[in-house]
Amino acid sequence: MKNLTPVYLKEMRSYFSSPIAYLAITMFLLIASIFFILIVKQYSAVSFEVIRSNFQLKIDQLNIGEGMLAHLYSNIAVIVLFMMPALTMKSFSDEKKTGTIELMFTYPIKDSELVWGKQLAIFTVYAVMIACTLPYELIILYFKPLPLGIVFSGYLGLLLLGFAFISLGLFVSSLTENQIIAAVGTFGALMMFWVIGLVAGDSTMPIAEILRYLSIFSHFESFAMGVIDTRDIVYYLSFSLLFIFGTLRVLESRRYRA
Amino acid sequence: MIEVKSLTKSYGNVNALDGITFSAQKGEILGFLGPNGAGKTTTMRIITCFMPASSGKAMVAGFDCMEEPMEVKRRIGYLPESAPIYRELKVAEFLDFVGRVRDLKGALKVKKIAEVMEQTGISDVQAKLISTLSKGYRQRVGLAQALLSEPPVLILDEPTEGLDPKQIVEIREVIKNLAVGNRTVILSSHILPEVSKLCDRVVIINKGKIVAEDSPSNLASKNQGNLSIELCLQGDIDELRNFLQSTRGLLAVRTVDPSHPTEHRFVVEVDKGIDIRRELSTAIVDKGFGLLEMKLKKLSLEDVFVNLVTKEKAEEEE
Repeated sequence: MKNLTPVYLKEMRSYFSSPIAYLAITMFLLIASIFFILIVKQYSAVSFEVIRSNFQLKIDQLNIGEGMLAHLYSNIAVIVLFMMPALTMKSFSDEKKTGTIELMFTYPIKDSELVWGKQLAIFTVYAVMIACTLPYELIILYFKPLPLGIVFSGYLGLLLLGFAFISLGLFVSSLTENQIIAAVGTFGALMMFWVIGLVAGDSTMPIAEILRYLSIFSHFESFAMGVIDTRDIVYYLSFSLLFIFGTLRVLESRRYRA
Repeated sequence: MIEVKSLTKSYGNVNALDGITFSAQKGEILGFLGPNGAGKTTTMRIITCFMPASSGKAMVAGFDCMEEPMEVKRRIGYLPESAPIYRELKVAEFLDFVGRVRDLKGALKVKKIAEVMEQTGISDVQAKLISTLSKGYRQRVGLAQALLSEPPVLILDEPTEGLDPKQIVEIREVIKNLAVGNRTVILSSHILPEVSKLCDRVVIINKGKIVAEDSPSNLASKNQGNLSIELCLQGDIDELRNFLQSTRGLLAVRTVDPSHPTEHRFVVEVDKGIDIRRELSTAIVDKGFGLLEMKLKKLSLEDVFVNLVTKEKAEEEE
């Protein structure tokens, strides 16, 4: 893994010397902020109702964790789903298109160094993007004490979720030299992993259980509520490793596809 | 240094390479000549471990390209066709990346990068984004990344393509100075004078096959109108060579693909005016060797070139 660092640094330079990272982060923050404002408005509306009802009604919804943070993190996770293809689409596709993949494959770099370098670079960009939402918590903190446990588990969940999304995006990107196809393919696949959870609904049929387990957001709900469950961590990690493994196999296939 | 044996490569039903065999020694500049689609790039890509061959073997510095690609890659500097480089990086950043990947560290890396930028004439543009550079400068950056770690083997795919005449002269000067010491250089081109100026030996490829292999001076003499005869003989190879070399009327003798144990192929050159096939065959049989094949080579090198050039023209007109 000696050449992991150079690949990682090169990827980071590429991201921050082109507008893509800045644009993605800006758009993400813009949309996330609108959701934050809506959540605050909703919370204050509920607060008024509680006061008007003389602390009889909806008092349970005044919990900062469930009333604000859980909504906030769930919304951020959905926005991430929409933004992630923009971050991952160019990783392999662009190298194939411009031919720089020929350099990568003829430098003494292992496939694993290449894939992990890219994965970690995008993950860093993503972590920066997610870190930019921390001021929301600071705003809440100004008015009320924060349940730090929920904040911690929420961000842990977002990082795991993002890591999984990135691995899927890289995998799709390794299949094509067209960035648009990579973006649409990644988006479609992520949507599918979301929608299968909705299809399952509350049904108790075995197939519904399976679909619910596969659904990428059903594992996020507990993180958003402040529950760190090993099953969810295992889900995201195995999801990521599966697609990283897939990407490595795609790269390897050039050696026997004669 | 480089050993390529009966290499084939097929894409679906198309045979891009059809049994290519050649070798390059230390300190040699070997030129690949041929029209577009002849198989030059494919051969280079196999040697650089970018893609596998369908069959056959390629060895660099004693390492098999299929078995030990990492060892091969460490020893090769490669400039791919049309010099793909990261447009979003600055020249110095890109070379820094290549330096790290090539195991250069600290002060040594800084020194090498400065040297190679000086050598290829890109010191002035080191702080510029590669996307803002002209084609000629990009080609130089591509050359610089190949040279950076001073690899024993350099593979340059059309290094002067897309350059203006002044730049071509400069880049050729750089390449000419590369072969000092034990370095092996393979470069491809479809410009005959370029190859003859730069290379010690030339391999002409067409339709995935080697159609000629010789030094540029021999190429020139062939163009003056000698005929060649291809022979397939049976017997001890050294005896056969001695016999042919001592036969009157034969100007040059070359051994082709000495891999077969008992049958040996030779190409001999004769004067255009005299048909010595009859005398030659009698002499061979009298000596007790087996004469398996004798063929007058129809294509002279000049014909080959004309053939290649007209084909390229036809392609361009399409």
